[in-house]
Amino acid sequence: MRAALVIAARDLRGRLRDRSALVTAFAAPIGLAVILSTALGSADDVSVTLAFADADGGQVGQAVAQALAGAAEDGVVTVVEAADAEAVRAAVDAEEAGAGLVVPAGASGAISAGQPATVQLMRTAGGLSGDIAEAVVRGVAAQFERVRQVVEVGVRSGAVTPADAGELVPLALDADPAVRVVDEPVRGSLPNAASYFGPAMAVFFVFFVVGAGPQSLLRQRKEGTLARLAAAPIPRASILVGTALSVFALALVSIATLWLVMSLGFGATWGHPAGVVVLAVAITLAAAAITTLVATLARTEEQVTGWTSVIVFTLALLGGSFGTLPPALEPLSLATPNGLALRGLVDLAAGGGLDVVLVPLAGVAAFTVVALAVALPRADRLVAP
Amino acid sequence: MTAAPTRPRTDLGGQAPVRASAPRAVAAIVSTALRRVARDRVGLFFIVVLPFLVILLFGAGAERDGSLALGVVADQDAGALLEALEADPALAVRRFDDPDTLTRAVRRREVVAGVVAAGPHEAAGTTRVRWIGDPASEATPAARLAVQSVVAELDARLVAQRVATSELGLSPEQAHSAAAGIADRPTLAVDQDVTDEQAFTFGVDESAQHNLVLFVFITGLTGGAALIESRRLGTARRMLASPASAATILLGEAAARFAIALGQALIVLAGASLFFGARWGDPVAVTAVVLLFCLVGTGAAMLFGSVLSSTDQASAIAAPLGIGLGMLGGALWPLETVPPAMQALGRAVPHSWAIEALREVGSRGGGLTDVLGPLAVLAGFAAALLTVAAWRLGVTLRRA
Repeated sequence: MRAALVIAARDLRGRLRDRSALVTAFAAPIGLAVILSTALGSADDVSVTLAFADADGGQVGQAVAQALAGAAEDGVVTVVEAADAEAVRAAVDAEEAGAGLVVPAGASGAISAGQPATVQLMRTAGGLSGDIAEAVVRGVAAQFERVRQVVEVGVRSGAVTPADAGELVPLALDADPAVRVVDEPVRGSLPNAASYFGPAMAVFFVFFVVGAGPQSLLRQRKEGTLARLAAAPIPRASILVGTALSVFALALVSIATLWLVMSLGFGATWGHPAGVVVLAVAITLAAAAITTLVATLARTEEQVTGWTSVIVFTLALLGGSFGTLPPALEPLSLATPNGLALRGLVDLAAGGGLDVVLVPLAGVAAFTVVALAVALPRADRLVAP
Repeated sequence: MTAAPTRPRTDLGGQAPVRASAPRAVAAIVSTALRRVARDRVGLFFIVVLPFLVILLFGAGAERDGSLALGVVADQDAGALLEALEADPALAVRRFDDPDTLTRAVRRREVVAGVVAAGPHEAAGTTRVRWIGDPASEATPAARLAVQSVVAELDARLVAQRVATSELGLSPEQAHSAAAGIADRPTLAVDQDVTDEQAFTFGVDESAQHNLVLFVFITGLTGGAALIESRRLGTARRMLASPASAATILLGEAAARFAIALGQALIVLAGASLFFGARWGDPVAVTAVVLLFCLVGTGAAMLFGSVLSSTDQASAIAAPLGIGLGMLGGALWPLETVPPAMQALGRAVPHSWAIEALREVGSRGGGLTDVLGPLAVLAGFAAALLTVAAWRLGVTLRRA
């Protein structure tokens, strides 16, 4: 064991002196996590400014103004009042507003006469501002539609004469809604993108950090260091154990650093610490098992490096490290060890209890056991001089 | 014909006359480099397979056009509501099987919010549509507003029938048949005046544009490691001992990097058209953009190869650096979706200019004259990178 520790310490010193390990363990995961979080962090932010002019002055204009005020109160939109249609157009063209609404003169008159009315929406194609403005108008339209439906059903069925149809208006307006939206707040969902991409980069780069272990064994064999080690009175297993210890230590420190930096610097939550630690250790072990397996199957150091990066990039893409897959492909994510670990970490970050760790943990462990079962009988190749 | 090698070999750049044997030397360097790439099967995975894997996984399913992802659980009786939600332009509906899965997706922010709808709506009483959303999330109220409008439209019809049965004494059948005769026209229509027809959408074409730029650059950086390898093995030194001048060797190395970048570009161009039906637009304009960006990739490769000292370093740094610059330059997601500061930063990365040009040509039907601005910027990037790299490599070669 002493020999293993000495080898581990020596290995770690060498690794840290080589700047590429610092890149893989610290600079790259933190750098990419920061870019991802900053770029995609505000993808959800909705800031919609709508310009509005009411040339109608009647019930339609008032209803739209009221709906806009409600939406503004909910923080969905900021409303800029404009004098007329031209001012609205100018505001949209100058990009002071994302979209503009104009209730033209005579809209209320048309509605009262049972005729359709129109609200003008000035917008760019495909913009969320325009969609939100449209939703506001449609909400208002639904109120008028309700009255029309009630009146029409009453008149068509012969229950009221067209002359008396006006009596139905208050009935329509006062009726309880037939469909009601009931709020079920979800508390403690993932607070920001950093809480996703921190773990995402952790489970991605751990494979490169750990994978350096088997690669260095193959290099040492090529350079003859292993042969000299074999001449020393230490069991061969301690070479394996020593190398494993050094990459484990580096991997866990790497994840811990990412944890710290993303939490303190970018407001990420990682959730229950015990759960994070368990999953971090599990994915580190899985990465070790898988990269060792690759090393035992390859012949040269170049092959190991190449195959490892092919496998790791494929796993990372499938596992959702660069963003979740489209829903139809999502099962693929859960067929990868890193995807499982990421799922567990994200559920922890989203306020889950320790129970959310169980399934991912079992899945990751299964990958580890299978990879080890194939790799271990062949692992002697790695340390044979 | 044959100019005697009287000038010192380390002469570089414009003042060194290129020898008669130079074209052959350059061709030899290029063909060696290409053969090395072709023989490296693992490298080929990154050049030939990975770009299409990315397009496959992220190209078609991208929902980054600004619409709000809404998760919906709907039973068979809630078809009308589901249809109406799917038709809403503000919402991108994703179906879920059960409320628990939906709630978890909301927690993970895979969707902005969720709706659980169960029929039947026609029965008396109120149908409840469960709204599952995090009040702390900024996009929630916007999605809620959109859903509320859709629900209100549905509500109008159902209320009419209910009022008819409860207040006017009609039977449900009578109410239903009266309602069925009502003209389906909006009471209050929205007259849309769209100022910019060419607003941004993200589909396979755009994904292909992004990945061409992303992979030409990453392949370039990875290839930069070959320069280090040839320095380490002393190939460059030995070449200097041949009649080839330092300028010829540099030119050869640059030509080799350029050929590989171009090969990568052609693979994405052809593959994306063939497998995904991506359209690239005007061939002349696309050629110009691609050639210039390949030059940028060449410059980056040469510079990368000149500043690093070991292949280990190069292979550790190439991929994260290539991905990171791709992210900044908008090659992994449209720059339109990132905050203004990140957009500004993106303009400092050549990727963003290449993507802007490719999009103008491929997605908006632009021609060569529409992309002269981005092309000029790309030319500037290429010139700057190649100059610095040539200077750096010249220093290294002289030292060797």
